[in-house]
Amino acid sequence: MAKGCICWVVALLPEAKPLIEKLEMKLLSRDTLHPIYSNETGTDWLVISGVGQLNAASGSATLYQSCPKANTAIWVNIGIAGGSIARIGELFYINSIRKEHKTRTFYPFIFPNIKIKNASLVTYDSPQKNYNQDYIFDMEAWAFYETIQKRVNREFIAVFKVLSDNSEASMKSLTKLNIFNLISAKLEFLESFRIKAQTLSGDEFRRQSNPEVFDQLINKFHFTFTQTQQLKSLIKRWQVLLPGKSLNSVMENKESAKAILGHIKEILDEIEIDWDET
Amino acid sequence: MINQIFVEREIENHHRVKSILERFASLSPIYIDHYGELFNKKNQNFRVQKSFPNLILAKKNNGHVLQAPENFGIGDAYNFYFSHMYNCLYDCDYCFLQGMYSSADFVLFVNYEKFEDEIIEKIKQLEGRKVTFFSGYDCDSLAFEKISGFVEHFLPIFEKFPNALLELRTKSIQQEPLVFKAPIQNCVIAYSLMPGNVAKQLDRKAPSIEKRIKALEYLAKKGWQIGLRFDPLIYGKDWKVLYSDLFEEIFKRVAKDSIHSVTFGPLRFPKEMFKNLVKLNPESKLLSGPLTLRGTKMTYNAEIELEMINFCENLIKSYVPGALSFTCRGDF
Repeated sequence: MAKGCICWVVALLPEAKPLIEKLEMKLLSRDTLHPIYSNETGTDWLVISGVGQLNAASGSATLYQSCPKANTAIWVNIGIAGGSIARIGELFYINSIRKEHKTRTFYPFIFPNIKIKNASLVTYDSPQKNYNQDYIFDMEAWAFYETIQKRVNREFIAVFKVLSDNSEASMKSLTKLNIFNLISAKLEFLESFRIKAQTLSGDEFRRQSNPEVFDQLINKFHFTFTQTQQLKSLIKRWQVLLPGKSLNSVMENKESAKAILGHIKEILDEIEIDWDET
Repeated sequence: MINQIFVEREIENHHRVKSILERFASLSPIYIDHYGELFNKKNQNFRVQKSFPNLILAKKNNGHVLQAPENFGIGDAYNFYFSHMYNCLYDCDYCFLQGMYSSADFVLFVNYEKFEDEIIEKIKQLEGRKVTFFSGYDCDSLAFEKISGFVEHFLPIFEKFPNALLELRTKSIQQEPLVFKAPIQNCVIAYSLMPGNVAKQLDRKAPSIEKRIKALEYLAKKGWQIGLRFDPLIYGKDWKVLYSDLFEEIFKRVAKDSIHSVTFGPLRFPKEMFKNLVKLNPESKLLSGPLTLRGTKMTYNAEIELEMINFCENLIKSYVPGALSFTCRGDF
């Protein structure tokens, strides 16, 4: 079964560290604009973007370029946020994201059966001191979402925030260790989310993948662009209508792409579907 | 069933919104300005949404009642359709909604009164001439009834206008409020049907054909007029036997005089829509089958299509000689 993939976008190293350690990720290269980490199996990728919207957008785009399964990965922005709607340390699943002074709102997809509270979030360009709001606030989520939603489906993007500061405990008192502990305390939840996300991503990867035999044929014969699209479609039809039956016999004695396409189509068009067969 | 609920701010105090939210007390509504902020946007995954649909409560501002396409009707010269809801609980391989919308979320328009006004206006404009209003082309007319109260609201309206026929198209075995009401003669409960083994593979999440026949049998006994809708006709091994058995079963159980009309529709997809459907559902046997591009439509070849329609039409006539029988080639 194809493995899914999760791309984590995190602003600060202390926020990322619990995930890096838990998922056994290693720094891939120091040459990239933002440090990128990945585990050995390639199921988890992480970028440390830096603080603020420009960094979040740029970090997300860098990870998108680096991860080979970026298209079908689940994209997660996790980090700390300010607000007075709950106690410090509470984790929220963000269901709407606005940007300061903008009217447009993003509504991230909420995975079903995730038992944590939802919250609205507003992204600002600078740290906020007015905690008297019915939403929480950060400095990255909008830019992360805005960047990634252009590249992957909305259902594959999630934002989680842990409350780190409020009117009683200001941001200035936050230390690296505090931040590390706030995220560490949520690892159990993140792991349960990760399992669901991996399944969804794996399914999507499989749906978008080319069948193995496609590459064999493409390497053996010359297919034009149109013929390549036709081949993809015919192989998928073949696998549905003649499951388990090899395409090798179709290739025998065929000397051109055109002959192969014609032969596959001829066989498929003759099939009367047996609706009793599951 | 419902993942999240979104409500347009303008209608947050609408009585229908309040009663729907009460049914989903465990979900906190998210307030939005317009359903278009979420619905039918680019970069959405129809398949994921189909598994975990959101409900969007909205207000429809225009296009409440629309002219039905040409070649679409069940006998009346004037045909209109109206959609109080976009999308359906069921997940059928051939459903054109998958190709039409990029979202599988349910949009329920709660301002029924505006639909009602426009329906009445159309009826009055036609001054007593026969007119049919079709419901259930952008959704299933009955499946969402317990939440929407759609039929409950619209039946009494049509009761006042005997020249206007209401068709409720459905696959649902949800029979409220029909079972509690005296039948009205200008309402047709139109069931979408196909051989049971075919439906088992194509009509995911929908009630089995056996259950649908049982439901229509019951409604027919209660005195409701029944429409039989074999649209699309599905080709495959032993199709003649499968359709013969289906018709036999239906007419064994349903009184012929309760059949208002029978319609057949060839399997047909606009070319671009077909491409979308295949992308969304590459494992569908139906979409992988022997379909061909004829003009702008992906269909079975003309010979198969004609043979299927003629065979089914003749067979239906052998059961109900005077049946109102139509072939629908129009697309919504």
